[in-house]
Amino acid sequence: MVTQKGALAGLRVVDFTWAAAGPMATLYLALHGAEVIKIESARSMDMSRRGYYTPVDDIEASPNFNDMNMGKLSVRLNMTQPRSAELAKRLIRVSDVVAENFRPGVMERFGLTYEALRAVKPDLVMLSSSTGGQTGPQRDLPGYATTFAALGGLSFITGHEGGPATEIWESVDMRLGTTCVLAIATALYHQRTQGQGQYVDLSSQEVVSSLIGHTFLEFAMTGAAPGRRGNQDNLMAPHNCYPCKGNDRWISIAVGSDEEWRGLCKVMGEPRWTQDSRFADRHGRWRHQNEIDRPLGEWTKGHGAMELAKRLQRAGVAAFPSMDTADLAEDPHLKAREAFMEVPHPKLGMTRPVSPPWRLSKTPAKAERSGPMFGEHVEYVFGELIGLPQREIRALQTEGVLD
Amino acid sequence: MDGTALGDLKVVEYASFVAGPYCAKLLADMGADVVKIEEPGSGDLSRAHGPFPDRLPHAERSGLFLYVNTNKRGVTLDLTDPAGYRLFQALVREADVFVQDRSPKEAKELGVDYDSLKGLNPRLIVTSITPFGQTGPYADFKAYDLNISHSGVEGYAVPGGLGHKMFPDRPPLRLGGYATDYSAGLSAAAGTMMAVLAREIYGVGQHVDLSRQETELAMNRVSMVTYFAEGKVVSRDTRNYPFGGTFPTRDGEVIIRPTENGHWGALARVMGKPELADDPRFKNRPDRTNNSGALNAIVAEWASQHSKGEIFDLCRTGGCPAAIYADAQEVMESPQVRSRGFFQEVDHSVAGRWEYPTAPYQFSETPWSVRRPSPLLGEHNRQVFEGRLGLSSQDMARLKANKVI
Repeated sequence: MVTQKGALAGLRVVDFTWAAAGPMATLYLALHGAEVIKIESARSMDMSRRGYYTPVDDIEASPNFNDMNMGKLSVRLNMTQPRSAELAKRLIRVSDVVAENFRPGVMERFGLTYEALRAVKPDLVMLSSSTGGQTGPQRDLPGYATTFAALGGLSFITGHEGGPATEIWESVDMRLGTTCVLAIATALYHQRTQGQGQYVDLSSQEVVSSLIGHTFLEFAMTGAAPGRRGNQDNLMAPHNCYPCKGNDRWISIAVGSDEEWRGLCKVMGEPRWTQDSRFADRHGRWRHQNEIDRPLGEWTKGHGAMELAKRLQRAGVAAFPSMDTADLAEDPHLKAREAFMEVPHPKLGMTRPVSPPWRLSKTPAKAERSGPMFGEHVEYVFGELIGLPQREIRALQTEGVLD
Repeated sequence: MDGTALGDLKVVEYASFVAGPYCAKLLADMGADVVKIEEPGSGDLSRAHGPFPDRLPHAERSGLFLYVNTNKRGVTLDLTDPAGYRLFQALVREADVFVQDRSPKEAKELGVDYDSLKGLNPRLIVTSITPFGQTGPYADFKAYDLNISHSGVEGYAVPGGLGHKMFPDRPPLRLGGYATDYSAGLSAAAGTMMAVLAREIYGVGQHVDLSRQETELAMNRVSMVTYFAEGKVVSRDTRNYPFGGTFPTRDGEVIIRPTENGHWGALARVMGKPELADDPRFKNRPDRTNNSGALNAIVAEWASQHSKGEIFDLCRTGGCPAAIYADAQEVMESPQVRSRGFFQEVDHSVAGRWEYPTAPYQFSETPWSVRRPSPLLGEHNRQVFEGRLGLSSQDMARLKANKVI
């Protein structure tokens, strides 16, 4: 059985998120069949629509906005207008989930605290995502992916030995967004099985910390905070990226067992240096990894990264090219797995957004439509869903409420 | 109701190291009843990995294992033995979710793939976590955290900025701390919950095929858009902010990001130069981009005169995004993190009491809790095999003698 309706069919989400992690979270909900209603306004527009990632001339033609908002609906509602809270509440009354990622305090200013919303929708699931969470002495701190990664500890342990900490970019937002999806889904399961809604307060810097959780036990257990070790591992060697034929082309090779080491030596043609007794066991290879890295890198230089990875894989060695976006876009494996969706957009033509990394055999993710035009669904949302007459919608537009 | 969100979900895990076990841990932490299956004798790879208290290796004291397996029960079982496999089937027959991380080929041989199990229980959800997914030409390729970190944009573009400038000849880098593996586990948990919610509607289980490579690809979707829309490839050379970024201070580096006009105004005030807010060179974002050299020189000069803590506090209270590059100790001592109770002490019978990260989300009605610490190897064999599956103590003795459990 394959259902066309999706894992979240019938779910309605009122989406106040406007920055990276939030829109990505609700994107995944939309791709699984939820009806996601994006609240935007001329005053406060989604950051990718405004051209945060890449400057845009036309707010209806942002490739990044499309990528993170496929399948959603959009309405304009200026939350600084006194009547807007009431309109938002009428919408939330007929919805299941509210998501937002403003700085703490903004929803309160709008009159849309969880308490206020639960009064109109008792089993509401609401998620707030912010830099450090809704509570605590630093709750007002605004942030971006790179600051979350720095505060959470990931930047500190990423980098060259002897080099500085590393700025880690947008991928951090998507790691947050995925965490938001998990949190919302978990709360929804509780709501569906026990009938109880709840408020979920997510801290972005804590998300980063949770993805390197054992490093805090390392500090506690050894008294030393882990530092930067390049590509190196605690146990495995060789374990690095090695140069390949071409400009800035690299292959990652990781050897854990003796069997994998023998596989690697075989593909290299058993050169004499590999017979060195220091490299005979795992411990020796780890201790002398620099002496392995040099000749290994000399050898990889003469080979194409993908061709070499395939040869090493056939010999049972974990090896793969360091892939750039061009490699990935054309990769036959990803093509075979339909890792890029095909979603037509009225202004951008055919777009190829990345699919969620999970394939559900019976309720697969799919995009019903491209990212919405700004305020495209005002008639459906304010007319059909909450029953405002046409005349009133027009008046609210003129008065700057639906703006 | 037991005060947890997932209290009525039964999960069986047959996975090792970080990605698979972290997936099941995320469910266990929110209440799911997780039975972790380990190989008799050796157990999960992470048991050998550490970190260990005082750096003394011990299978029950690995910080990595302890963190990734809280709130689970643990059994040992040899699935290659027919009696062991029958016990495994009995466990899965009663389960809602089965999480496994073997390669497609191995999973089939062992009988832990979706096709081998779906007949046992039509409501079963099987989550398979593999390097490159279940299908396609690389399906049976092997990959560790390092390889995956480099397989989906991220590694290729790390480190940009200063790190690359200092060492232009060194290779691109993976993310530290197995963040890539953890992210695969996180994605697997999210995908699993989609299937769990689908089952609430349609009443049937399904297969969740999680590709670790595609996890990284999805995390880097912004870079893929840049390629598809503009043909631009991100690399270590292009990973630079047009303005703002990392600045040295008196005692280390900070990151300062005056992206929006309000942020720049706030930074100008805390630098004691409020007039810069309306300076035509910096007033709007495109101005700041065009005059990034001048802007960065001003910020660098200011930053060099203060400590990283001072700069963080000034920017924070002023309203400009900024951060220190916190190490593990600084994260654990952060007043923000402490005030939220993100680290909590967990007592383990062999490893002792340590502070663990809890969950990065606080649920108002069903909060994170430790119901049990990570299991000792085979700790719950009796409870699960006798208590749940009804084996006798003679059965247990025989299985033990044959090294099946």
